[in-house]
Amino acid sequence: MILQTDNYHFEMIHSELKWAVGEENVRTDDADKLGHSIDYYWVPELWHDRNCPPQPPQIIVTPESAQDVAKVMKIANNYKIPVTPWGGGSGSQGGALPIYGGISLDTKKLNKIIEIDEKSLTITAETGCNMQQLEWATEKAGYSTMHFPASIACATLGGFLAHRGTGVLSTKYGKIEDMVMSLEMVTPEGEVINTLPVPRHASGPDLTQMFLGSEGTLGVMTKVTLKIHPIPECRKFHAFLFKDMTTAMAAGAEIMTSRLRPAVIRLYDTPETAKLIKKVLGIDREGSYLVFGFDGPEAMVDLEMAKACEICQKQEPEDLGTEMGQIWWDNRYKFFYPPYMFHMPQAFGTLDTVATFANIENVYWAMKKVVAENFPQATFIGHFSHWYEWGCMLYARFIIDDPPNDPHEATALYNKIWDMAIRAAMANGGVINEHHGVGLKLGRMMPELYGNAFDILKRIKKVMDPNNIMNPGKMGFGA
Amino acid sequence: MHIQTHSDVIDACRFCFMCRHLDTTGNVSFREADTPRGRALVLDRIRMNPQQLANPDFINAMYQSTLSAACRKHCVSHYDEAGLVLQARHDIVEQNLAPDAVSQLVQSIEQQFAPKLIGEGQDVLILSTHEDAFEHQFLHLTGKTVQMLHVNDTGKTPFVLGFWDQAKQMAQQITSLIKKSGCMTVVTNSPAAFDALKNDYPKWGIDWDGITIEHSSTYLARLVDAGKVTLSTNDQSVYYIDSDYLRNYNDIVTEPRQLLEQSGYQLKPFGTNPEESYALGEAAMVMDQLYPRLVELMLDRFKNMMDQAMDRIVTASPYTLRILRGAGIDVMSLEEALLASPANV
Ligand SMILES: Cc1cc2nc3c(=O)[nH]c(=O)nc-3n(C[C@H](O)[C@H](O)[C@H](O)COP(=O)(O)OP(=O)(O)OC[C@H]3O[C@@H](n4cnc5c(N)ncnc54)[C@H](O)[C@@H]3O)c2cc1C
Ligand code: SF4
Repeated sequence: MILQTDNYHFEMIHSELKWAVGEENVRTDDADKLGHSIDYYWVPELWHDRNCPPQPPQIIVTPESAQDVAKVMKIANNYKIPVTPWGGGSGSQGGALPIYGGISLDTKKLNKIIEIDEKSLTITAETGCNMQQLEWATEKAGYSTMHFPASIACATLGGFLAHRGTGVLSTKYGKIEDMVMSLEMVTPEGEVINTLPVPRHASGPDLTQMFLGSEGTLGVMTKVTLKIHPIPECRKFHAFLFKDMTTAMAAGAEIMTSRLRPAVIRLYDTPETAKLIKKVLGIDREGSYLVFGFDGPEAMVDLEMAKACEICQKQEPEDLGTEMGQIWWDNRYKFFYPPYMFHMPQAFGTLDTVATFANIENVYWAMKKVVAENFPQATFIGHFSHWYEWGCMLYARFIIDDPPNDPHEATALYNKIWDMAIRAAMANGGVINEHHGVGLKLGRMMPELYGNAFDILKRIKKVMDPNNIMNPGKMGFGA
Repeated sequence: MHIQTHSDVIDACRFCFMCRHLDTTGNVSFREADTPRGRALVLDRIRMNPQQLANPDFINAMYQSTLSAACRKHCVSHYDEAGLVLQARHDIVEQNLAPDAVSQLVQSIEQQFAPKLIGEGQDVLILSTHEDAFEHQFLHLTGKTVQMLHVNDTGKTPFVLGFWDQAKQMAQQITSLIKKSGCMTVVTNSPAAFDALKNDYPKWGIDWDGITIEHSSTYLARLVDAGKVTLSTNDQSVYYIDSDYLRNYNDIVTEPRQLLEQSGYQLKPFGTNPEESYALGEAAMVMDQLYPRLVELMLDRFKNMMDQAMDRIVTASPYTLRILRGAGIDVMSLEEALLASPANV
């Protein structure tokens, strides 16, 4: 149901929500609604920049407990009002945008840290916790979540769960889905459920993993237990400059397939080395910059570091040493602050793709070719961010310095680049995507990505959310 | 519009999320509008559609900001988001859109404004905006002759509320009294007064003609370093709560801590991190009067950040001290902490 605000029925629902979760937790303030109409997706930013009318929710609700969430869901389900969970709004896929209006369910007041279990090394917290605040609290207790995404300061724990997010140290400590022990979830019909308390079991298919990545379409995740880690004795970095991306990739892949265990590897293609590594780190060199780091007991770190350097040396790169690696770590978030980050009037998008080592370079070249041949006004750059035993993630970006002024034309161009680049990636074994999620931006690609298996996902959605109130219009599930 | 002077800030902040975890209001209201991004989006709308300045929700979003400037300090490029909000408030006042409660507060400050000089000392002028002028006693230790200037406000409150003309008039009166005193050093233990004299007045064209403006912590730190004041030892452990005006507006971070350490205190880090403002809305001057509910929520957050077996808290901000004391929390001003050290009692 599309909710109209200028009638008495709206006032009835508004009152019902206030009775359920308290006056202070139901808001219709224009300033706040404007904030909830734009996330980190370029298109709503463009819309705002061109002074087009915002597409806000009608009501913002800030529940303080899973029980509050359940009450909101019951009311919404009763009237068939769309509910879109909102964490920090830092998602880049439009996932938190209330495109059909209704309720924006802001989770930020679900911010309690419930327990740190020092025996099992786990933390249990509500999902609206700001990730940086959660990490600080964990560190104060002497541990770390080891989840260090560039959006640590702005995103919520729930946002990462919903998008299967990742942090800089993912290569050793895993993506968020590797960190989760168990979840509490409120279903679209207002039931509070829990998944099994441990992530490894043989008690049937795993519900925790099914809800992770569901992007608010299957319910609201309200509580999670995560693994935590002791603070490592040391963490060291080393950087090399390779003559090109291919030799650097060979070195990176060999580090992984030799089963060394770096905490991070990051490899920048030559255009990004020239553009961003120079701008942010001040390293002004031609070639492909590769940095890696190990952490843990110092003796182990030194040994693994030496082995990894040995592997790199085979490609005869320029050795930039530890300092040029450390500088990258120290400035790892700087890339995302203005003016270092791409910004209006530029149009830009992160063509996040993941593939095996056998396919990843083909994916890169295929996307680059398609962008160069069809969109000469766009620049294509990329780096390889998150590495696994079998492959890695390509963080490719296209940038147009001077997109059309007309918002409709600019959006059409933007969508076209996405369509063509992502299809090129999929044709070469790439999967969209590794950690940014699907949202509004890529929903239309889901049937192509999954083939006839997408029908299974649709049926799960239908069973969980028969009235389709949860985040309609996202993930390819339709409205 | 005055916000145009900060167009670079609107452009940078409107789509940037990177400091939202440090917005003192946002951390308790949990509103998107109470973050630098949220406010910049609102002001961008107003920049494009000036008539929207009259929207009461937009006006409220501007006044709810604590102006703590923790975000500006954190920002890699230090975009002046607090300055942008001040410009927005200036626009609101100029267009007669200020909320009644705000206008009434400024009126009452103006009515009570009667600055007066006391004493005849020629070395140092102590500027006091509240009753306890502890610096006075410190200065006796150094043998300096002092004069006192009592004011209810330096113009800082009208300024942060957007009433710039009134603020400037107050500044002129205070400046002429300071010059009349003949003292070439002005010391105050109010971080807000210090910031007004040090940073605001010169921007309004006031020339200090060689007069030095100092906060009592840096002044004392120099006296201690020069061996003119001896602070005795003390073995208590304390948590020092930064003043926004000292840390985020004037980069005075080490001196108060150094004084406490020289006085024998063991400093413990408060809360979970060194970046957040725990000053409870100090930089907004009258947060407790305009938004008592928000200050109550900030206090709840403050209490959550306190360690279980809590030692005493010390703050250099008279505002923060008053709010904490009002909530029954064991707190000392910086001066009380230093005077409490045995040799000075
Ligand atoms: C500067 C910057 C850097 C970034 N770097 C990274 C990075 O390094 N790694 C990374 O993974 N991502 C990164 N991102 C993307 C973004 O931060 C992540 O996608 C993050 O997971 C979003 O979290 P959020 O709380 O902001 O979620 P939102 O944007 O508010 O929501 C995202 C989606 O999750 C849903 N959702 C939110 N909370 C819940 C919940 N409790 N239950 C169910 N559904 C929910 C929403 O409906 C929406 O579909 C970056 C973003 C920015 C702005
Ligand atoms: S102050 Fe800096 S970090 Fe904060 S929103 Fe603005 S540009 Fe981003």
